[in-house]
Amino acid sequence: MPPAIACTGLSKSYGPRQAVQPLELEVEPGTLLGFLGPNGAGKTSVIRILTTILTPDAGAFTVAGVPHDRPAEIRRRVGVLPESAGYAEGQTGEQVLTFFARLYGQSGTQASATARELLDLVGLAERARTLVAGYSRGMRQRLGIARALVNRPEVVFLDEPTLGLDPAGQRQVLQVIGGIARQRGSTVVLSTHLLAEVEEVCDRVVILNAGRVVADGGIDEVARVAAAPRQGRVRLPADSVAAGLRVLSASPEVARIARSEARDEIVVELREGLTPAEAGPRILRALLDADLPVLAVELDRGRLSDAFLTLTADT
Amino acid sequence: MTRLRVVAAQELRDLWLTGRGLPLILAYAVLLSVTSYLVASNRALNFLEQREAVGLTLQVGVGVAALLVLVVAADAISGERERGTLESLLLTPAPRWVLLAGKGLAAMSLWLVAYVVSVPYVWYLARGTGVLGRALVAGLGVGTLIVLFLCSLGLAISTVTGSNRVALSVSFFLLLAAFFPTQLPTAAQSGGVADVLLRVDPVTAGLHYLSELVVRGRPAGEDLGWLVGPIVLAVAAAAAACTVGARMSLRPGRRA
Amino acid sequence: MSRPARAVLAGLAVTVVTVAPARAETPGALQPVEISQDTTTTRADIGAQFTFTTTVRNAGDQPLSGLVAHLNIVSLHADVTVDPEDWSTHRTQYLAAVPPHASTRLSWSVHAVNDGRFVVYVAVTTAAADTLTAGPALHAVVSPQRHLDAGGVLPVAVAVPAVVLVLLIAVRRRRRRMI
Repeated sequence: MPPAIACTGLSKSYGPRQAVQPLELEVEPGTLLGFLGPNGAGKTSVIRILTTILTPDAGAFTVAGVPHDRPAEIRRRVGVLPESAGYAEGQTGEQVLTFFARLYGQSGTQASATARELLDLVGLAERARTLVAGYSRGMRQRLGIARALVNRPEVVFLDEPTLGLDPAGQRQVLQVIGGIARQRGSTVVLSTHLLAEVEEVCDRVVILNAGRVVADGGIDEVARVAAAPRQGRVRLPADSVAAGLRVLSASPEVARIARSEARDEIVVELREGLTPAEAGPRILRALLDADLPVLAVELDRGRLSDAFLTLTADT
Repeated sequence: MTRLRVVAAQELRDLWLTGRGLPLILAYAVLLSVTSYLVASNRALNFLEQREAVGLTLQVGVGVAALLVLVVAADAISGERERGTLESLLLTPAPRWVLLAGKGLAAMSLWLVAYVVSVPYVWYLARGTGVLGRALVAGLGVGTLIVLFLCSLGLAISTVTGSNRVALSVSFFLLLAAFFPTQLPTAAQSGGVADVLLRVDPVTAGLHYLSELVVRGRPAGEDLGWLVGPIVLAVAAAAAACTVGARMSLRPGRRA
Repeated sequence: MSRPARAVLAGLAVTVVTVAPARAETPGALQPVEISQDTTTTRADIGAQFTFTTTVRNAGDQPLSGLVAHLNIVSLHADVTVDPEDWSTHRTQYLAAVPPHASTRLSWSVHAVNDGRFVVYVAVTTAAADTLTAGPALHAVVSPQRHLDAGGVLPVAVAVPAVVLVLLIAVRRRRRRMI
């Protein structure tokens, strides 16, 4: 099975500004990919190139196995929620979806059925015959996602789908996105700058900065590699803290230690490359081997937000 | 063709059920009412023979309808771009010229409705003159040519300009330019270059033909030469608009 | 020109042209020039266009050059004012040289702007404007014809926008119900 997305040497400039540096990327079918990056990182440009709205300056790509020189065929196989998607205010949700389904070649009957099915999927069945003008922002975004699905796409690109939504709206949209990947088997590229969204629904993350991929992998993997230094706290009875300091300073897992202002707590910084899952048991073992009465060992989990901030710090 | 029908149907719904279609036609009808009332009632205009009144009403009707169509056409693509609705359309496999042509057909519907609205006025003014039939047929034919030309121009401008405001400004300027030869002094309208200009400009040539036919009562075939310019330019402008439309992009100047 | 002055001029013109024969030679005129016309009477409805042809003949033995023909319209009623510009947009024609005993034909198109009785005539002069020859009179009777009146157009002028307005309101209401 060909990759859902494969691109090599993809680049794009707007005048003197290089929006996308030569980009190498391969995404397996069925992946829910989080496409992260600060504003102006080039996420939207990459999506617009992959969806044939923009032409790259250099490079080649395939989407759903279709090479970039067949843009109409690519458009048939992808679904897109653009970054600033507008809607025909004077139409009902059902009319919007029926219209787009018909543009993909569906008959009137098929298009109506598709519209009803998708409105149900995104939770808008009851508002199917309401004008879009009466939709909330969250409803519009869900309608936009439904619109991106009218052609049963193999690859779905969602550009900032939760932008401007309240927490409840964000949750609804994320549930819909998770459902797309699980139930419909589509590859989903979720472009966002909200890290919690990616951590919640994605199984792979690509971080883009200044048009360059600065991290690519599973969320834990990216966090482990990029979210250093990682810290933790060891709590001991006050009379054991001095012994604890000696044991921990000799531990190969620990890069640095310090006594916390709370007298019975030692702050540890893990050695680079170690995950809390690896270091935690070893630290605990060393303390117990020294017969110290350990009250608690708390190691911070590597957070994507740390990785993101680290990797995009120069922008 | 199915996609063209789908796009046109959608645009027609947009224009007439929710958009500016009916308000524009209301303004148009009010203008024609005022014009025809003045023509019929003002004794100071009594040198206007009835056929001239018919011709004048037809010319006003065609001219204003052309303006309305131009406004809608100039907004067609640049407006979608500004409202953020263009990208979704470009993402569909529908050929881009089809998107443009569908919008063009919807804009042209404004002319057809305007024409229908003008029929009662022309009917009243033409009573007893024997020119009603030819006024309606010639008005429809000439008006369609002029409107098609300006509509295509508006669509092409809307496709290549970055903002709606620029598209509307450029279109208005070209509309004024197209009407300019009709305002030339009589003395300046004779001579080789002036004659070519008058015949090439679809608006001037079309309105001249209309006037010859309706006001002067000349046989329809006698001045057909005046329609060559409007026909050629209307067809050429429509073809050019479709060609430009095929290159429609999210950001003008950057090929998608 | 004021209205009384025009009326006086009209009266004088009538005096001159009514004594002119079909082939006119005005006293003090260009002796070799003869002006004739294809018709001397016409009837038209107000607003109609009528045309006639004038023949200018060089009756002398020398070629004539620099001739200028000019159309004029005279009202036979003092209360009807004529603005010749409204009646014809091309009232002056500059003639090419006319050889001895040859003639040249001039076409005139006139728009009957007012109703009443009028005299239309063509006068020929030279570039030096030293002499003038007036042609025969064309008596034009223009009958009034008016089918338009404000009361008649009112129903159309009111009904059409009203129908569009009703449609607009209906569409807006439907739209509001759907939000």
